[in-house]
Order: sequence, then structure tokens, then C-alpha cells
Amino acid sequence: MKHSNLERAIVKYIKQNNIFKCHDLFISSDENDNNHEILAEVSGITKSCRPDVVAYNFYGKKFYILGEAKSSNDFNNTDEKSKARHNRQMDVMINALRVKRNIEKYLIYACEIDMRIKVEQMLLEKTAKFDAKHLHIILIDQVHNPELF
Amino acid sequence: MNRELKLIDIARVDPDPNNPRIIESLKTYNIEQNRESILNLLRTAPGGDGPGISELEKSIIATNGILDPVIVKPIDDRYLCIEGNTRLSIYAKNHERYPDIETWQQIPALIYKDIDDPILEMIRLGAHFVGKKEWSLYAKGAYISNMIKNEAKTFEDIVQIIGGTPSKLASLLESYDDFNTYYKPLFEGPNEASGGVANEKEMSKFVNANVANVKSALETYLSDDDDPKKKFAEWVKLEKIESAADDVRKIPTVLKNKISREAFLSDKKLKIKDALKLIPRDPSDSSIKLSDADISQLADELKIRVGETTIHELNNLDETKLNSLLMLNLDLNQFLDNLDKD
Repeated sequence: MKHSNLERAIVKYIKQNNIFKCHDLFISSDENDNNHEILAEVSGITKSCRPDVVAYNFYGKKFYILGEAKSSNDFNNTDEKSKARHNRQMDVMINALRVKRNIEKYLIYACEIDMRIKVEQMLLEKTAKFDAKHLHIILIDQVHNPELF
Repeated sequence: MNRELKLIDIARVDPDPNNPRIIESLKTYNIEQNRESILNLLRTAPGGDGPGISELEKSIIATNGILDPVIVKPIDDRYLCIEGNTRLSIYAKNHERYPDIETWQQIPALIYKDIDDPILEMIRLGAHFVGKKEWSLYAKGAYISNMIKNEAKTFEDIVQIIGGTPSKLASLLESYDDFNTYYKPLFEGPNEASGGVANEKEMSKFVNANVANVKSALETYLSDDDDPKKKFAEWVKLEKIESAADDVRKIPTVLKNKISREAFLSDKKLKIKDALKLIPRDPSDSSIKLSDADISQLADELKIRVGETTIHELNNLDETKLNSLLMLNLDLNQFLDNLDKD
């Protein structure tokens, strides 16, 4: 599956989910809007990454969502540089969300079913390592869900 | 003055070859002065300080046509566009692409009959030198916020109408909300005694505080008990942050360093520009020659120097120094483009 399909699935998931339904939903995908880099301190070092999807609202019960699409081809790449990039992205997104106050925080990863366990394991290890409490992790792997893909 | 508002067939309106945005290019590149080449040139010529042509086009498409009619002058059985040539070029392009769509077949125009040259100049000057008074950042934020809060429009609807990037609008809305939630209350109720009113001009500081590196520094380096947005509003009120352009961008450098951070957070009177001066240069570095310093030492020093330089000083830099900075910026961008960013 292509990276862009997974990215679009995250956008659809957010737009269709009742938790995020609101008039003031800001949603920006890298494919359509060229997302900005986000920055976070990871173990004392400032690091950056460009999330595939950023979404949040302005009024009422506030939430903040970062979304990342990972195709199996991309994630299975054993090249050290690629591995380092996946690690950096996850580290930055977890830490950027971790430091936000008074807001519901969501990290959404979209991947193919064969990658689910690997991605989930990596997310669990990293949230524990960075003590990222109160972070909602959502994994989208429903490639056969016609509503999303 | 004899005027009439009418819908005119797009094919009967000619662009103005004397339009100041294109007249030089026509001469310099010896471009043939026919309708098609002038319309093409109008779409590619650089604009002024306003929105870019693609933003204007998106906005016109979203509103299903222009809201302000163009101004034309009849010449024989055709019309010359006096004001609104860019809008005309957008209509012409879309008519060419979608000839069956009604919106692009006719353009709303105000026809000035028997118009003489002095009046014509007056119209052009009025439109491009004075123009409409742009709303302040606060007024823009208030208007959009009201539209969304009253549920008349969604955030997405407004982005389509205005054009441009959603993140710019999001930043405006967030800053407006920060100003009202955290800054205004500092002047109300029991705080009234401290005097003053929340000056709407200060909103530009809140916009700059929502830039990624500043926002990240505020969220990272303040204690968990502090609300970063509230703290920032207090600093603005205490005048610790004096300039939106110069001072807000110093925040990440000051907060990242333990000495300057502790001083800045504990001393209510210490301004950010003075806190920046507290960052110690590594004493061992004083003996290092520029050519021996490693890339992070050079980058750290440059960051401090840039932080210490005001916009006024930057504008008065001599040509050689400015050129060095511009070249460094170009080189760095090119170099860092090799990083894996996705």
C-alpha cells in the first residue's frame, strides 16, 4: 500500500470520528498542505520531524493529534538511515505531545496489518521510556475498511 | 461621472498593456503586446505585499466569482480593463479551461464612460496606493473566531474562502484565543488596579509565540505546573518581551540555557534581551580559533549573535556583512535539504 493512501486514511479517520467532530477542526496533511516541521526536546537534544497529519481544535474540550503513515516497504527497510529516521520521528512526536498541557493528546499511526505488532511494540516502548502519560495511541490497520481506504 | 454596473463577456475585455506590474517586462523581454501574452504575463508578474495570485484565485473560486467588480473603459465595441487586471487574467484562464461554466463566461464590471486620463490615474492610485484599509490581526482573529463560534462556517470553509495555507489561519485563530484567554484577564478584575488596558497591537507577539520553535521551547522548559501560554502573557504584561519581531524569537535560546532560563523565570524585571546576555560562552572556547571550532560551537555562537542583533541593526548592516549572511542562509538551506525530512 502506498504511503499517500495511509496518510489519507488518517485524515478520513479523524474527520469521521465523533470524538473529533467539531466546527473548529483544523486538519493539515503533508500531501495537501506541506506541513511544518515540529520540534521537540528528545533527551536534551532539539530534534525535528514533519508529521504527515496535524489536527487540532480551538474551543471547548481541546485535542491535539499528530499522525504518521508507515507503509510496510518503508518500515521494513533495514537500512540504518531509515531505521534512525523512524526512531527520530516517533521520538519527536511522542515528546512534542508529552509536553502539551490541558489538552487531550493523540498519536495516530497508520500501517498495514503485517506491521501492526512491530509498530505497536515500538510505540509502547517509547511511551514508557519518555514517561508519556495521558497519550492516546491509535493504530489504523484496517486496509479492508472501505470507509477509510 | 457616467458609470454602469454590468456583466460583460470575458472575451470582450482587454487587459491594460500599461499596467505598472507588467509594463517593464513587456519592454525588457520585447513581448508581443497581444491580449493573450499580456494576460499570461499578468498571471506570472510579481505582486505587491498582498496575497499571491494563487491565493487570490482560490478565493475567487471559493466565492464563485469576484466580489468587487473590475473597472473598465469602453473603446469602440470592446472594453479596456483599468483596474482589476489580475482578476481579469484569472477569469480568462478559467474560462479557457472550463468554457461551459457560467461563472467564467462574464465578469462583473463597473463601466466608466467618457473617462479622461486624470480620473483614470486617480482610480489606479486609489486602488493600489491607498486601497482598502487592512484589518488588524486582532480584528481578523475576532471576525473569524465569531464565524466559527456561531457555527456559521467551519474552519475548512473559511480556509477555502480566504485562500492560503490552513496553518496560517490556524495560527491567527490560536493567537486570538491566547490573547483573550490569557492576556486580557491580566487587566481585568483584581488586576485592574495595576492599570493599563490590553493593547490589541500586542497580538503580533502572540502570533510569533505560536511559531514551532518558540512554542516547543515554552512547552518544554517551563515547569509542569506552569501553563506556557499564561506565562507568556504575563511576560508581555510585565514588558519582559518588548518587541514582537526581536524579542519573541530569543525565547528558545534563553530558555534552553539553564543560567539564562533560571534568571529570566525568577526575576520579574529581567527582560529577555538582557537574559540572553547571561548565556556564558564556554571559557575554554575563548582560546579556540574560529577555524578550530567545531560546527556546533560555531552554530551556538551564531545563534547568540543573531539573537543579540535587532531588526533595526539588521536593516543597517553594511552590504558585505549582509551578503555574508544571505550566502550562509542559502548554503545552509541547500546543505540541510540533504537531511531526510519525512
